[in-house]
Amino acid sequence: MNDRITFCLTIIPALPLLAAVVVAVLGPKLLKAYSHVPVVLALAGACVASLVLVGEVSREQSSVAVRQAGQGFEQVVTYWTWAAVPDALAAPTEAAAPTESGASAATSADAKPRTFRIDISLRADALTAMMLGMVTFVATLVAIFAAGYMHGDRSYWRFFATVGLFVFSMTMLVSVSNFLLLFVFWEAVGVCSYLLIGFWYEKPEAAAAGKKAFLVNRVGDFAFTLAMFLIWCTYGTLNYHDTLATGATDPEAVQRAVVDPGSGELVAGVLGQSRIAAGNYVAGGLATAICLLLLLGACGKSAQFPLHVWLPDAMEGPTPVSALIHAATMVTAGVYMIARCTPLFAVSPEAQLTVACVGGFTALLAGLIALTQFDLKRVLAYSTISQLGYMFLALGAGSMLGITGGMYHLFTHAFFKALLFLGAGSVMHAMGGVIDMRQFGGLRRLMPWTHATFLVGCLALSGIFPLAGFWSKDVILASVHDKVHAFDHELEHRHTPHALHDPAHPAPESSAEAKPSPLASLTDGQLAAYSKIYNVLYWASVFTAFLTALYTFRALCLTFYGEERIPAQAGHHAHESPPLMVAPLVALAIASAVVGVLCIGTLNNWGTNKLTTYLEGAPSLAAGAITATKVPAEFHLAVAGVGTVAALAGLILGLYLYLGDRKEARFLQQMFDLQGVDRLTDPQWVVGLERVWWIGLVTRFLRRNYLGWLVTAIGYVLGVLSLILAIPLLVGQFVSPYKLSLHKFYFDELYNAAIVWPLRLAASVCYWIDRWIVDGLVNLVGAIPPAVGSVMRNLQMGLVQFYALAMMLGALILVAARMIWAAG
Amino acid sequence: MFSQQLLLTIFLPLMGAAAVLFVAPLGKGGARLVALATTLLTLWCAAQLALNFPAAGTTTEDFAGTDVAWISQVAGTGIDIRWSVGLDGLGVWMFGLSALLFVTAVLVSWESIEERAPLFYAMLLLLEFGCLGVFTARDIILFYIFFELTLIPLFFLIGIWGSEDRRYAASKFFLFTLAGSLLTFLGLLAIVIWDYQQNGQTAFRFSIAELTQSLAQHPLPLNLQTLVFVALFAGFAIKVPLFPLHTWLPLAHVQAPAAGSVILAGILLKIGVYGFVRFSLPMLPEATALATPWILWLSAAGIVYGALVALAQSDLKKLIAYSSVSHLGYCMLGLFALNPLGVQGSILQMVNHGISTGGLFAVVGMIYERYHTRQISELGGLARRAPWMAFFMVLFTFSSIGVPGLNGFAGEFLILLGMFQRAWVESPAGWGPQFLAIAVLAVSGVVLGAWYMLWLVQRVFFGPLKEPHAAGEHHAPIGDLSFREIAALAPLALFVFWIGLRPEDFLSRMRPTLESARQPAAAMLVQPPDALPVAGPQVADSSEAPARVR
Repeated sequence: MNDRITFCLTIIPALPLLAAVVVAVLGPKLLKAYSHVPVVLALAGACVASLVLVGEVSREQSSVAVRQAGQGFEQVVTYWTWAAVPDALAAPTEAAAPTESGASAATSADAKPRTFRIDISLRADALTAMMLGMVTFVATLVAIFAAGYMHGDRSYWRFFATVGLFVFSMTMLVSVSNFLLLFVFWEAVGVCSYLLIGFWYEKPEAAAAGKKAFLVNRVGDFAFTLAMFLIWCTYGTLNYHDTLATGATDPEAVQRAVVDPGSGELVAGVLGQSRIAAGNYVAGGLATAICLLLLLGACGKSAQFPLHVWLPDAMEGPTPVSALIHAATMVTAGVYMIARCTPLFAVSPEAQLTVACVGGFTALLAGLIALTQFDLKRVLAYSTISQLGYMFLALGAGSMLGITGGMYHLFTHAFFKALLFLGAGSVMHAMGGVIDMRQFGGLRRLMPWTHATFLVGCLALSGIFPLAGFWSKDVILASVHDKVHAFDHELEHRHTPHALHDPAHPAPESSAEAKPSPLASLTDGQLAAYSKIYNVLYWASVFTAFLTALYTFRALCLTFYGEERIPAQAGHHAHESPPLMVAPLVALAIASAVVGVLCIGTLNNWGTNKLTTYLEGAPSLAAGAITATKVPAEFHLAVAGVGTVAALAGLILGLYLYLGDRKEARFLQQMFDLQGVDRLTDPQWVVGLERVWWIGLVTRFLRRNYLGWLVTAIGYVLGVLSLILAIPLLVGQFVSPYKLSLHKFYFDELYNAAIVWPLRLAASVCYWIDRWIVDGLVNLVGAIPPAVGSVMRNLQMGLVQFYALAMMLGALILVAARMIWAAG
Repeated sequence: MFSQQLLLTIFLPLMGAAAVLFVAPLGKGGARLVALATTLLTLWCAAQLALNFPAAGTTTEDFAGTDVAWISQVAGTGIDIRWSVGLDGLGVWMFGLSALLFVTAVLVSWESIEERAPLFYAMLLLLEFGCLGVFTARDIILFYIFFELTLIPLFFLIGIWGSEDRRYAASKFFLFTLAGSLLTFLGLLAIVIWDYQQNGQTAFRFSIAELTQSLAQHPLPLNLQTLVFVALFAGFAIKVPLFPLHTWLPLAHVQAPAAGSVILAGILLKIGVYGFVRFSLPMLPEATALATPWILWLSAAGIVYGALVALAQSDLKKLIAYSSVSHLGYCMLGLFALNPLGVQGSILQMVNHGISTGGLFAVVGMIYERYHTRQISELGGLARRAPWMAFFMVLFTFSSIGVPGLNGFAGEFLILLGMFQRAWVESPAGWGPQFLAIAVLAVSGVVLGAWYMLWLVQRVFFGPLKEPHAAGEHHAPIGDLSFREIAALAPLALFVFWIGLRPEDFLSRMRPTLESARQPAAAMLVQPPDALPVAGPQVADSSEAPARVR
């Protein structure tokens, strides 16, 4: 046990919680306009502790013992027992049908009835440390920015109390060591998000957006809950880490039990070291079901298709909240969760493919929507959805490169997206709360600092060398690119005799060979199909890179370039934001510029950049199936080139269209809006056909030979055909590509029509049934006795009261009698 | 066995009721002070008992039990009715919850009850006497007396101090529950008579513990068991209320005064579930096992149906009343999952529902006291006018929709996990897919539950301020919660967090009792029906009876 880790792990969530409580208690009366002080101090403290934790975990990982064991490093700190229901489960299903490879280690204990034991325990490992460092760093800067941004708000203290509560929940989310607690804080960040989106609750849109966010997330949680139930029934525990059947939490005792499986004391955690080492995971349909349900849960929190609809509306909240919760931290919880559950996903190629498809599709969809939005914050919101899609795509690639790539992008994205949101907040602050890009423009002279930092953010987001986004996006593209080859490689491998294959390479390590590749379960046809799908996803992600640069620079140009326009709401005091707000912008801009470079090691061994090496120390990513799929990765110049060309093309197109008088942009808009297609629908063109010389020759010949009726008939047929063909064009005018994008592909309308209104209708029908049928039957039954005994009817009320009186008197007399008797 | 502590706690409210009537000439002021003092004292005593309750639960003997002969050898007929009370893992929480909620009930009635206040508080205390008694009684006759004793005061509370339609609501509530409870009584008597016949005893025994033991050795034949189960079901299911026997509940809630709603939702509904655990499960295991699929379907239907109907409501109280139908569906679902997770979750959820719904009804009462309306459409943006009220409303709403970290989640999660486990790995042969459908349906109820509750909060507390015009004419400007009102809600909020963060404190104490109640029925459930143990002398009878559902 490393005491410094224990200490850090405890105070990182404790400090924000403490600050939240202090502000909630003292804020309204005592602190008032100084309510930000405790929160900023606590977050800064947590940030320092997180950095210490990152260092300590790194030190522990490189220690000799951990290296030799070939496993990751984790340290679990247990506080108290939330619930422990003994004999809750006779035997997990996994024990009934043990997999071949894992029969030895875990099944001996599985045969015993399982205790449903949930301890409040936190863990430290590489994944947690990285997330903690990112969360607390961004949160500190956002809190400083918010101190300026929220200045003078009526509920200043309430804002900071909730932010403190959020950071507490978020740090807990990434450091708990149990699926149930993950869910607890998964919902807790949702509650904080609900409270902060609806912070200005007098605005009906804000209150409605908060509710929508909560409910859409609930749909995801529904799936998450079922996934948890399946995990419990399958593995007989919800803990990540290995525990003991006795409930003792002494880590050395656990270690002894891991070494000596015969004792039967060990309860192998779902993501525990012993289970990962043994590769003891249930495969097949059950695994896929668990993974898909987890994925749907992640889709809710990370705003992925089909549950992406809440995030844009969530922009009703104060902008620092959008930066912290809806860009940098909370929405990445889904990515974190899937990365954490890598061993579960690794056994199901189907689930990984789905993750990749969801990610790739969402990235593309959100990128297309972002092109036409006029609300600056919404552009950024769709951009967030799109970038989260990238992360999912990388996770779906499933290789070591992909998963670390997803986490890498999560890390860099947090900085530049928080920067962009805070920049948007700075603009909004100066513009008197206006965020519609049609109402302002050309702000670069008015707000030089905001402009400069925003530009850095845009370049980073677009993935321009050498800013942060370039590196992480390149890893993602490379991982998908490699994945395509992994399938081809497997296919080739199958049809080559083993002895002949790979003479150049020495035989792979024994541990890797012992485990069958998860791809082995796929047929040849599936392999070929998967390869094709990943190839499509690769090119879709390249196209998304182009879109990203395009919409980013569109937003930049609309806001900062062109002639200077300031809305009336800004009054006469439109100005650059105060230093308190500019300082975090500068800090984040510097971070956005350098975090990418800081993480890379050498280019010729891309797979071992510093972040990857660090993350490999997390148990979930350390051993088992995941490292078996590790492809020796290099810096693909081709991939980087393609990505950069796409980004530059988007950037240049964006600048070309939106710098200057924007007439090309208007032309493009009209074109994609299919304006003017109605001219194509006029059947008069048939008449004009005769002016074509050879057609005229033919018709004149026909007319002269008394076949004029034939010409007329053909003319009519063509006219009717063209009318029929015109219908799609006319419809297309109403759902043109431009309109689809502008109206967000009508997802809100679709969900309203398909889910919300049917349910509301069902509710009304049920209520009608309740009043007239269920209660009607009851009343009917109730009407029988009076009808039969008409004599009794008149006495009914009186009888009841008499009965009541008699009951009471009787009871009292009995009691009194007994007392007198006892006394006597 | 004789324990003054528990006896004193039970009888305190009765003495308080007498004292209230004694100070009746002083009017409202004196009566409510006496009532508050009584409920506080009772709460203090009950808290002592609950805190001293053994942390590992009770197995053989009740905690703080009293067991003395009461009515016996009357005219040589050999009747042994005992004054037998005690606390076990099941009763202690309902007992403590009752003591807690009555303080809230007195505090929310403080200003709103103007007419005949002494009578009101006397009735309220009498009701508390009944509630405390019913959860501690260990004798069937005593249980039944207390059971009926809870009906009568509430009947008057609704009938006299209710809203415009109070008479209809009161008589419907009364007749509904009375009809059920009479059948229940018949069922209980049948058990007593069977025990008398089987054991060759010289006396009719009424002790619940003895009867449970006796029935474990000499089970009723299946056809008789089913009959008795149906009789018990009639009373308890109406009380719960299980869909479709729930229509008295919204009516009674809407018409009842705030205190009546708090007690009705918080405590009285729990007597139904309590009855199932106390009587049906341990005494009639085979019939319970047979009825399980049906009750599970009814519970799941109630969860979704209650939530949907709640979504269509325009009246605050009615919405929360229908949410109770939905939430009590969860309790029944967990109970009839018949595994440790489900049953323990179910009992925990009863406590949770009492706290959160009790709190919600109290807040609604405070709104009504200010605006004299319960229509959602007439209210809006109250958070601005009354931030503390909004805080408590949001807290109880979160608790009610099962936000993790608060109490509702702990119960709901255990119930749903228990149900899912019953469906996935422990389902009786042939029932797997249906059970799974029930489990998934129940989980989906969680989404609907969040929908209607958040919709309510959004409409009433958020958005632009909207108040009915009639307000303000009769009253001073409407303010936030007073100290008294905060004092009424704060203890509930404490438990919202306590149970949410440390449910094990509560679970460990109820566990042994629930396990012994659950195991006989659970054992029947997983066995194929043909292998049901045939016991007792009526061998021929029960072997002829395989005309069963399965």
